[in-house]
Amino acid sequence: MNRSVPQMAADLFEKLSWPDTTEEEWRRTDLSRLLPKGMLDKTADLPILGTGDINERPAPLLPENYAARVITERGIPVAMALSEEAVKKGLSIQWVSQDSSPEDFPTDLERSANAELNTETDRITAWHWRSFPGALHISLSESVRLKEPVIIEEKLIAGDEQSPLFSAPHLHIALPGSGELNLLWCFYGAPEVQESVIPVVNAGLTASIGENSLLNIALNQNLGNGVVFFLHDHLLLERDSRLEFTEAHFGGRLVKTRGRVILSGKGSEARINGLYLAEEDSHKDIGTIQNHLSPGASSTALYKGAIHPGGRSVYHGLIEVSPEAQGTDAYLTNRNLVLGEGARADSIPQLNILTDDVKCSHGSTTGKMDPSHLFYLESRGFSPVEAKKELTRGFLTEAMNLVPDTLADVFTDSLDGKL
Amino acid sequence: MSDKQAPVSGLADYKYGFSYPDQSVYKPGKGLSEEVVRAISAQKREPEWMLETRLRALRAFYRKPMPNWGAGIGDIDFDDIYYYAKPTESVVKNWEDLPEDILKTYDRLGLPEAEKKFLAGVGAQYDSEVVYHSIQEDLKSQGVLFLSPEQALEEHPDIVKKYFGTIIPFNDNKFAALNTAVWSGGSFIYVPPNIKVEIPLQAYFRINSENFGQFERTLIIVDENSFVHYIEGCTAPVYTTDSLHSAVVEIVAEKGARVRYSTIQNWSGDIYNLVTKRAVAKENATVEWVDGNIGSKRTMKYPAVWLMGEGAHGEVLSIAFGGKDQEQDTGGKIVHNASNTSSIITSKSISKDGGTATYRGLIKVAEGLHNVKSHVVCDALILDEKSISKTFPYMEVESDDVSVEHEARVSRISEDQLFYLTARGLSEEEASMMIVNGFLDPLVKQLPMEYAVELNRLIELEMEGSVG
Repeated sequence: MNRSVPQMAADLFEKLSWPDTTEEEWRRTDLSRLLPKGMLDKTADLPILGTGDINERPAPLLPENYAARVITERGIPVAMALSEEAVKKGLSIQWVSQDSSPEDFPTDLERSANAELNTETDRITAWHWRSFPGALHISLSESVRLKEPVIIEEKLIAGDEQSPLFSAPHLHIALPGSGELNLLWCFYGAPEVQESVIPVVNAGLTASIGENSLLNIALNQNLGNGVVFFLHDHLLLERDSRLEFTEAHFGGRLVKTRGRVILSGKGSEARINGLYLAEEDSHKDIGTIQNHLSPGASSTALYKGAIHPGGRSVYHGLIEVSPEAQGTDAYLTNRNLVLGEGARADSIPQLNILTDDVKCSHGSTTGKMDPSHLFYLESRGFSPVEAKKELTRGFLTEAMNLVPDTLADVFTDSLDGKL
Repeated sequence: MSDKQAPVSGLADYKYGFSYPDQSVYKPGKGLSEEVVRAISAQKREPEWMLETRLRALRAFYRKPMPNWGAGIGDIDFDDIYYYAKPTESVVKNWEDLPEDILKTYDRLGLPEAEKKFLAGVGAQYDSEVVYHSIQEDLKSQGVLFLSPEQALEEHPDIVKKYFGTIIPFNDNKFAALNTAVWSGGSFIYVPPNIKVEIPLQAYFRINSENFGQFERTLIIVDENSFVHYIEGCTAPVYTTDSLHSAVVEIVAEKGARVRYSTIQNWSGDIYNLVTKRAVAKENATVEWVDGNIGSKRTMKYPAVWLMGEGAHGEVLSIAFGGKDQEQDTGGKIVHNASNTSSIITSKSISKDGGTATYRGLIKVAEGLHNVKSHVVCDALILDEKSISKTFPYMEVESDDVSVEHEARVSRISEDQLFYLTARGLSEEEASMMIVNGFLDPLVKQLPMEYAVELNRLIELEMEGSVG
C-alpha cells in the first residue's frame, strides 16, 4: 500500500498497451501510422532522468513586470528568477522531484495524479506520471492577487542518436481561497529534427483553484515541426472560482491533447480557448472536456483551427453534466478554417447531459475563407497571399482574447512566425 | 377470440399490447447456424447466388465484433432467437383470404381502413413473410413494382441481383451481416423512369412470435426523374422476453429522382431495434429520411445518404422519444462524394422518466470537392432530472470549398413558457404537452397527415401523467 505516484503509474504503464484506433478517443489519431514503428517503445525505454535542486541553478535576468521566470530543459528547471516583491506577497515555486518521499509529495499534486490515473487513463498519461522528473509546484498564499505573470519556459533541444530526446515536464498550480495568478507556459525549440530521433514531449498540467480564486493560464506551444507533443490537463475548480485558459498549438508533427476542466464547486466558471494551426504533414488532435459536477456552474469553450493543405486536425469537445449539476450553463464552439485543397478537419463536439435543468449548446463550423473578404482586402492593395494571411490571423486571434495584454506578444509573435 | 366486434384501434389499448396465438406454418428451432440459413433459403426456393450471399454474410456475422459504442446491446442472446417463421402457406391476394387471427391483429392496427383511404399498396408483414400484397391498378399500369423481396427475386431476378447488397454490403456491420444471412420479407420497389408515384406506398411490419427476430430487407430503386414516398410503420405486441429486429434498407435514387422514406418506429418496450439504412443519390437526385423513434428498448439507427452525383441533396429528419427504460441511439449520416451537393440533418429528441435519447451523426466531405454545404441542427428536450440526453456529431471535412455547420441545444421546458400557458388557463400537463408538440412541430409537418395524427397521439400517450 501507499505506493508513490510514479510506482503506480509504472504499473499502469506496464499493464496498458499503446492506444490504438479501437479506442474512440484515438480513432482519428493512429499512432502506429503517424509514428515510425517502435519509436514510442524506444523513447519510453530511455532512463528516467535524475533530478536536480532548483536552488542550485543560476538565475537569468528577470524581465520587467514579471513575478517569476523559470526555464526548464527536459522538464527540469535549469534557471529561475523570482521577484522579491512576489515572494513577499506569498508566491512560492517549489521543485517536487519525482523521487521525493511520500511525506514531501504535496497532497494536492498526489490527488491530481490519482484523479488522472484512475479515470479513463491511457498509456500516454501513465507514461507521463511514470517518467516525469518532477513537478514545478506553484502556489500562492491565501487572498493574494498577483497581477504580474509567472513565466515557465520549456526549452527543447533536439537530441541525437546517442541521446534521443524525451521530456515530461509537469506543472502544478495550487491556489488557495481568494487568490489570483496569471501564468504563461511556453514550449519552444527543436526547430529541426532528424527523422531517426524524433523528440517527444509528454507534458502534464494540473491545478486546483480554491474558492473565489482566479487562475489565468496561457499555454503557447511553438515547438519545431518535427516534435511529437502530448499534453493532458486536469484543472479543478472550487466554489465560485474562475478559470481562464488559453492554449495555442503552432508547432509539432503530431499533437494530441486532452484538457479536462472539472467544475466541482458551486457557481464556478471556466472559459477555455484554444487555437491550432495544422501545417502540411502535421496532425493536431485537440480534446477538451467540460465536466460539470456542481450546480450553478458555467463554462464556455472556443476552439479555432486553421488547416493548411496536407494538414489534418481533429477537435473533440465534450460537455458532461452530472445529475447533481442543476442549473448548468455550458457552451462549446469549434470553428475550422480550411486553407486549401487537401486539408482535412474533423470536428466532434459532444454533449452528455444527465439532468434536466441545463442550458447547453454547441456549434461547429468548417469552411473556407470568404472570397468577398479576400476581394475586399485585395482591392485595398493587399496581395492575395497577404490578404489570406491577414484573414487567417484575424480568424485565429479571436481565440486569444483571454490572454493578458502583457503576454499577448508571445502569442502574436508565434503566429506571425508561422504565417 | 370469437369476439367479432374487435375494438377500433385504440392507442390506449395498444399501449398494453396484444397478441394472438402463434400459428406459424414452418419454424426452425431457436439459434443461428448454417443449417438454419440453408433451410431459410431452401424454403424460399432461392437461386444459388442468394444462398451463397447468405452464407458469406453468416461468416461475416460470426467474424464481426459487437459494436463497442452506442446503446447497451451486450445482453442480446443470439442463440435464444428464432430466425425464421413462415406464417401462412402462400402470399394471398385478398384481404378476406387472410387467416382470422392475422386479420384481427391488423384490424386493431386500423390497416384496412387506412388502405381504403390513403394507400396505394399494402405489404403487410406478419412474422417474416409478406402475407398480403395489393397494388392498385394504376400503379401496375405505370410499371411500378411493389413486391415482397422474395417475389421480386422470383419474378425480376436481374434487377434484384444488380442492386442487392450493393448499397449495404453483406459485411458492412455485424447486424447488416446478420440480416443478409437470415433476411425474410420486407419490400421491393422499382419505379421506372419519369413516373411520379403520387400516393405514399406503405407496409406494416409486425412481430408476433415470442423471441422472434425479424429481419426484413427492403430495396427501393427509383429510376431517372421519378418520385416515390415509402412509409414504414412498426408496431409490435408486448412480450416479456427480448426480441430482436434488425432490418436492412437499401435505396437507389437514379439521376434526378427523389425518394422519401418515412418511418415511425413504435416497437414495444422489450425489442432491440438495430437497423441499417442507406441510400445512394446520383446526379441531381434527392433522398429524404423521416425517421421517428418512439418505441423499442434499444434502438441504434442512423439513416445514411451517400451523395454520389453533382447536385444531389440529402436530408434526414429524426425524432426520438426516450421514455422509461428506453435508449434511443439515433441520428443520420451524410457522405458528400460529389461537388455541388447539399445536406440537412434535423434532429429533435425528448427524454423522459429516466430514458436516454442520443443523437449520433456523421457529416463527411470527401477530398477535392467544391461547393458542398451541410447543416446539422440537434435540439433536445429533457423532461425530468433522471433523464439523459447525449449528442455525438462527427464532422470529417477533407475539402476546402465547403460550409459545414452544426449546432445543438439541450434544455428543459422553460418555467417562462409553462407560466405563460398556465396563466392562460391550461393545466400544467396540457401546457407541457403543447410545448412538446410545438417542439416537434417542424418535423411532424413533414409527415403525411394520417402519420402526423398518429405521431401526435403517440406522443400524447407517452406524455400522459408527466407534469413538466
